[in-house]
Amino acid sequence: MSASSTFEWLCAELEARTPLSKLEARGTVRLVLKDVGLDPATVSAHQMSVVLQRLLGPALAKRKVERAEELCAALDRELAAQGRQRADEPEDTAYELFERLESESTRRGRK
Amino acid sequence: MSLLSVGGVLLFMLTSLVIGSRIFALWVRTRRLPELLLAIAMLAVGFVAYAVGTAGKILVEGTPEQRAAFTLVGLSIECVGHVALIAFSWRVFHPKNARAGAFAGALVALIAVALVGEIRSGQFLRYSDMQPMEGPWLVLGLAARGAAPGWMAFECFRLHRRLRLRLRIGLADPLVVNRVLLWGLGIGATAAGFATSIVHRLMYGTGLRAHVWALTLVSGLATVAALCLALAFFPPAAYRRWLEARPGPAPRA
Repeated sequence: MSASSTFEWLCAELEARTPLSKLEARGTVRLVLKDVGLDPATVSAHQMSVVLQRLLGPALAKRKVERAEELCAALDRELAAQGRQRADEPEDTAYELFERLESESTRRGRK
Repeated sequence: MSLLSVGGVLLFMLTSLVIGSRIFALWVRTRRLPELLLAIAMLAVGFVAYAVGTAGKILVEGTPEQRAAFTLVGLSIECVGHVALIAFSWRVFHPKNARAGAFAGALVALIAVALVGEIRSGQFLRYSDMQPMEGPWLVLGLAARGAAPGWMAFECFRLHRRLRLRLRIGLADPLVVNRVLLWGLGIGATAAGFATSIVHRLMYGTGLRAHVWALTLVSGLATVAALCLALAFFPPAAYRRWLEARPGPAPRA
């Protein structure tokens, strides 16, 4: 599952498991991601997991989705199970690049 | 020409040499394209082009042909560095975006056209002497090359804004977020240096050396660039602790 397919997968699951339409499900996830500076095109499984644990539940509850927290917890477990099956290939995202741009002493100091 | 007027430029050259070399060493380990592009840009623009160009301006007491050769080589190296910086911005910030690719291609084409224009018109010699420029080539060249750091700075500020939001939920390291801001400020200061050169050329026709205030202003911008890049790459332990202890943006309810 690539980063953007994490977004696609989550939206499809929300559409199937909640009364939300495709447009509503995608819009809800997009808004939550935007709120924390994440891009649907590049969001990773790890980032989406944090969003599921901390942000999506309240956003779904606001849209009258019942047992939103339980649903998010279940989706997070499924996402984790899928994540374990695939080999993560690191991408040269801007964040990862800037993470590498530091001196050896800085890197050692952070460990 | 006071030390204050050129001290910042010398500091920037030294910083570019050290950080460019470190990034090149990083590329040797990682073999990733962004590191290579950034190392080329830092070394070519920040050090080699300045060194060769300065030799053409003040150090060579030789023939006009030697001066022209130094200036042309320095300018060409600078163009290579800016092309690398444009490729870096595209590859790092918008790797899958065709529009960004087209924008990067347009900037590279503009740099090439301006360089050919500067050479064919002979106006590139105005970079090393005190005669006023004629025609549009120098301003076009400065604008095209200045767009490279301008674009990278813009992208760094955009990324910093997004990363600050990610801090709310622990999806970004405060040190990396601050590093992105420092790169934006440092590279942005070099873009501001180009803007200063353009304004000066449009006002007086000559290079910055004609006025101490202009040279001092650019030297000040170069100092800001050097300090920001050095702080980004070599943050002191106390600075790191301060960043990590600083409260981030509050999570939304």
